Amino acid sequence: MDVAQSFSEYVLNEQNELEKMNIVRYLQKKMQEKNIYFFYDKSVLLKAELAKMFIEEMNIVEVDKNLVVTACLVMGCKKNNNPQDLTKVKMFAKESADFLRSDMFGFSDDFCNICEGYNRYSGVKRTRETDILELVDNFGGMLVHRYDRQGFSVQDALCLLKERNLKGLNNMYLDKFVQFVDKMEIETVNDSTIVKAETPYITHLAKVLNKVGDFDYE
Amino acid sequence: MNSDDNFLLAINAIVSSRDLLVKSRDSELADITNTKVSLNNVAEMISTVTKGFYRVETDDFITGQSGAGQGD
Repeated sequence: MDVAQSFSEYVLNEQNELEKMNIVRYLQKKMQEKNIYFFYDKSVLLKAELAKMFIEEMNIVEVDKNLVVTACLVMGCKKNNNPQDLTKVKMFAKESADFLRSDMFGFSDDFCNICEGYNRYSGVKRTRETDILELVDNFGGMLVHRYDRQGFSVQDALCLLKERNLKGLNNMYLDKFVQFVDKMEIETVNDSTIVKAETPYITHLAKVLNKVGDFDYE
Repeated sequence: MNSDDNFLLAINAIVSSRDLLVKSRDSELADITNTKVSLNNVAEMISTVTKGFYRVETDDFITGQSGAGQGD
């Protein structure tokens, strides 16, 4: 990395999502070396991949895909793995955004505000980007196994997204996201070596990621 | 497995899923193309048979004039 370049420039200038994931993994390890907590696990990768696919497949040209995918990778960096502690859950987005605002990263206020808006606890202004982050965070989070429960099926997660998590909230992309999931569930992939043949795409993606071990530890 | 191995496996899972999707879409496209070729063949067959029929029924068809509606 060019020493004159800030981390934000480095990661935002990288257009390839897989390389971006590598860069954030590198950052996580650097933080671990300094004993600074930085949350980054396979659920983060799944959410970023879903955001990328949603924007591409539904041809959402009014948002910056690069920015949204980058935000997905870092927006929950101060999240901990105890979703039962609601007081802490309410603070994750704010704490993560405040951490990203520090001089060591060089992220703009706009970018940090977008990250802070991935949930509605801190009350930042809703934007197109925050609404997409909210969708992939809720939906992607339900697909992944946690220590206290198994991941939900795609159809169950979609139902809970509409009828529980975002019920009564005005998310401008909810309908489009439902269309996206339905569209991708019609498309099947065939990989008999890992999961049963002809599996709907998002189901497949969640299954293969759930089979991979954790990497969010030293 | 250490955490780096698991990270690489996770990245690999995403890459292979993307590849499978591309492969699946390519094969779907090939199926559509093959179906189109088959339909073209059927259309050609129908056209040949129909032309033959008109040749037998009326010589006018060959010259491009319809036998019907000529006042006969």
